[in-house]
Amino acid sequence: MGKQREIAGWGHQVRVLTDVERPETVRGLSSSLGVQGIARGLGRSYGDAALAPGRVWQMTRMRRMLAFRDGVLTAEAGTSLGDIQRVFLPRGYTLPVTPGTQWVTLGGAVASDVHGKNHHRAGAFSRYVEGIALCTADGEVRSIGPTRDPDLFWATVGGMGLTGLILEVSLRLQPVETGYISVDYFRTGGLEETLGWFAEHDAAYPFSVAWLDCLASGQALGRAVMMGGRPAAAEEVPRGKMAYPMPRPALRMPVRLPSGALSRGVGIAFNAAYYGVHRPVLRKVEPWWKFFYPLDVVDDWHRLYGRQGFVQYQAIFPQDVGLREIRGLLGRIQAARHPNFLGVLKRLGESSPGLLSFPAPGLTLALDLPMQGERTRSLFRDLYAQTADLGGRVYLAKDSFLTPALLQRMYPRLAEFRAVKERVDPMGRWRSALAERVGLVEAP
Amino acid sequence: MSHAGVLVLGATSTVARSLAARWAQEGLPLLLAGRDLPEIERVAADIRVRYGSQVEVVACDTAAAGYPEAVLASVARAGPLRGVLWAFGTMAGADGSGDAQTLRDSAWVNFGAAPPLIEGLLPLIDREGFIALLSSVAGDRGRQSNYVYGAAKAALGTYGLGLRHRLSGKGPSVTVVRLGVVDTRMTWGMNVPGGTADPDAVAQAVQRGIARRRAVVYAPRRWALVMAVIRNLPEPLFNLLRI
Ligand SMILES: Cc1cc2nc3c(=O)[nH]c(=O)nc-3n(C[C@H](O)[C@H](O)[C@H](O)COP(=O)(O)OP(=O)(O)OC[C@H]3O[C@@H](n4cnc5c(N)ncnc54)[C@H](O)[C@@H]3O)c2cc1C
Ligand SMILES: NC(=O)c1ccc[n+]([C@@H]2O[C@H](COP(=O)([O-])OP(=O)(O)OC[C@H]3O[C@@H](n4cnc5c(N)ncnc54)[C@H](OP(=O)(O)O)[C@@H]3O)[C@@H](O)[C@H]2O)c1
Repeated sequence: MGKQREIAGWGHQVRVLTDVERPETVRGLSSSLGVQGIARGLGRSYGDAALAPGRVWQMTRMRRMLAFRDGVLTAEAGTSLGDIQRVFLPRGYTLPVTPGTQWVTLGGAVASDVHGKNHHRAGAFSRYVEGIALCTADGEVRSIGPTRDPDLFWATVGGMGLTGLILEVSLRLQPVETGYISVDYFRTGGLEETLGWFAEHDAAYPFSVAWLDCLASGQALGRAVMMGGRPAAAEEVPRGKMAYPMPRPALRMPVRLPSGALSRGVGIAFNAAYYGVHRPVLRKVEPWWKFFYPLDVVDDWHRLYGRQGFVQYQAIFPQDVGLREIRGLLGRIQAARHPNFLGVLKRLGESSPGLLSFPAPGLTLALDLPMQGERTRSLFRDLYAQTADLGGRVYLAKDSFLTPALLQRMYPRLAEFRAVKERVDPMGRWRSALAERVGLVEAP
Repeated sequence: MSHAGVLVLGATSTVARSLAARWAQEGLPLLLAGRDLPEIERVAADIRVRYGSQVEVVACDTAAAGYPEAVLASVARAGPLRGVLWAFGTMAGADGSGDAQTLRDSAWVNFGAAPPLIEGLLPLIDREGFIALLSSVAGDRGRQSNYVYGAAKAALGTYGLGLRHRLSGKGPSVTVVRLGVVDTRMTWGMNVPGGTADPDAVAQAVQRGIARRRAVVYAPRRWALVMAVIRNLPEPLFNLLRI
C-alpha cells in the first residue's frame, strides 16, 4: 500500500513527497521501523525539521494518556498540548510551559525543548519532563530521564528527533486556580523604551512578551505592545463565567491567498493597527487561549502567505547584546525593504541543560517574513551572519537557512551532542532534511 | 457482578476507540476486548485518565482454540451488559489476491466469528440494550477492489438485520453500521476520491444512530446516497469504473 504523501513544514515554503507512516498501535509502529527517517508531530516547526528524504513517522495518532499520578501526566508523544489543557484544566492543572500555539505534540515540545511566555522565570519545557520512553536505532525502548541515562536525555531534549522516536513523555503539570490570566498592557514609543521595560518590569510578571513593530520608521522602530501576565485568582474570574473556560472551535482559513498579498504595505498597516488598538490597560482578565494562543483562532493561517509560504527568523542573543545591536539588526531588515509581520521580542532566562536547546539568558527576537526567493535568502544570510557575530544562535525549530559552519559557531555543545548521537545511532538512521542540511548527520 | 456497560469487541480499532470514549463520557462502564492485550491496556488507561471511568480488559482472540467459550465465560463473570459493539475487521485479501489462509481469515474475522460469540452473549445483554455491528459500504455491491471483504461485511449486515428481526419487541436493538471510508490505519495511504472521514465525527454519528435504535446507519451519511447510485448503476457503466 503506497503511503506517499506531500508534507511541508508550517511555513510551507518547501513541500516534499515522502513515505509517511502514521502508526496507531505500538505493534504497528514497531513493524514500520528499520529504515531511515524522522519523527513528526503536528508539523508546527517552520522549516524542514520534520521532513525527511526517507520515512516520516507521523505520531499524531499515538496520543493516549497513560497515567496521572501526583501531578505528573504520562502520555504518548503524539498527544497535543491543547488536548492536555482540555482534559486537565477543569481539574485545576495547566501546562507548565507552552509555546505560542497549543497544536504541538509532546514529542515536538520535547524535541525542540520549547519555551513560552514564562521562560524568564520558569525555564524551558524540559525542566518539567520527568521521563521519556525513547525508541532508539537498535529498536530498544529506553526509559530515560534527568537521572536515568542523563546524557541521552539531554541530547533528546532539544535534539530534533535525532536520537530516536519519543514514544512517551512524563510531564509535571502545574496546579492553577483558574483558566484566566490577568494581563497588563503597555505601549512603548520605540526600541529603547521596549528594552527598558524588559529590564525594569519583566521580572515582576510570570508571563511577558512584546509584540514588536519592525516596520515603523525612525525613532518609532521597535515600538511595542508589552504584555505582562499573572495567573488570575478565583475572585478575578469575570462574573457569570466558569473558572476554567473552554474555547470554541477555531475558524478555518478556507483558501490560500495569492503569494505577495501580504506586502510590505499591508505589514506596515497591520503593525500600526495592532499597536493602535492595544491601548494601555491594567489587569485585563483574559481566558487562557486568548493570552497564550492568539493565532490559534484561525486554523491553517499559514495559507495567508500563499503558495510560496513564509519563513521565520528567530534568534537568541547573549545578555550583553542590547539597544545598539538590536537596532542594528532591525535597521538591516528595514533597509532590505522586505515585507514582514508578527515581530515578537522576549527576554529569556536560564539555559536548559539540553545540548541543542535553544533558550539562553538574553533577548530573543522572532519575525515572520513571506518567502520571496533569493531576496529572502540573502536577507537571512546577512541576519544569520550578524547573529553569529553577536554570539547568538537561531532556533532550529524555525530555521530554513542554517549552514554547517554557522551551526558550529552557534551551538557550543555540538560536540557533546555528536558524541551521544554516535553512541546511540552510529549508522545515522534518524535523519531529517534539517539534519542533512546543517550537517547534524552525514549527507547520504 | 456490577457491569451493565458496553462490551467493545476489537477495542484497538480506531473507530471503536472513539465510540468507547464517547460511551465513557456518557458515564457507561466499559469492557474492552481484543487480541492485542498490551494495546488494549493502553486504550483502557487513556479512557480512565481522561474520563475517570470504570474500564476492564478481556482477552478475545477470534483465532484462539477456546473461542468463543473463553470469552463468554469472562464476560459472564463481569456481569450483565448494556451493549455490545462488534468492530473486528480486516482488509487483508479484500481484492481476492490473498492465499487460501488469508481468504479464509477474511471471511472469519469480518463475519464468521461474529455469530458464535454474539449468540452466546444474548442472555447477558439488557432487554433495553443494544448490539451494534460495524459493517461496510463495501457490502452494498461487490466491487473488484474489495469484494472478498465486502462479501463478509454483507453477511455481517444480513446477520444483524435477521437478529434484529428475531429480537424485535423482546430484546436488545440491533444496529448495522455501514461505514464509508474512515481515516484509520485500515485506509491510510489509500487514494480515496472525496477524501476520508474523521473517525471521531463518524463515531458521533454512529453513537447517535445506536441511541435512536436505528436498523441501519450510514456514516458518514452521504455514503447512503453514493451507494444508492453505485447499487443501481447498470453493469456496462459499472464495469467502466475502477473501484
Ligand atoms: C504559531 C506558532 C507559534 C510558536 N510559538 C513557539 C514558542 O513560543 N516557543 C517555542 O519554543 N516554539 C514555538 N513554536 C514552534 C513549535 O513549538 C515547535 O516547532 C514544536 O517542535 C512543534 O511541535 P510539533 O508537534 O508540531 O512537531 P513537528 O513540527 O512535527 O516536529 C518538530 C521536531 O520535533 C521532532 N519530533 C516530533 N515528534 C517527535 C517524536 N515523537 N519523537 C522524536 N522527535 C519528534 C521532529 O522530528 C522535529 O525535529 C511555534 C510554532 C508556531 C506554528
Ligand atoms: N476504516 C474504514 O474506512 C472502514 C470502512 C468500512 C468499514 N470498516 C469497518 O469498521 C470496523 C472498524 O474499522 P477501523 O478502521 O477502526 O479498523 P482498524 O483500526 O483497522 O481495527 C480493526 C480491528 O480488527 C482487528 N483485526 C484486524 N485483523 C484481525 C485478525 N486477523 N484477527 C482478529 N482481529 C483482527 C484489529 O485488532 P488488532 O489491533 O489486534 O489487529 C482491530 O481491533 C472494522 O470492522 C472495519 O472493517 C472500516
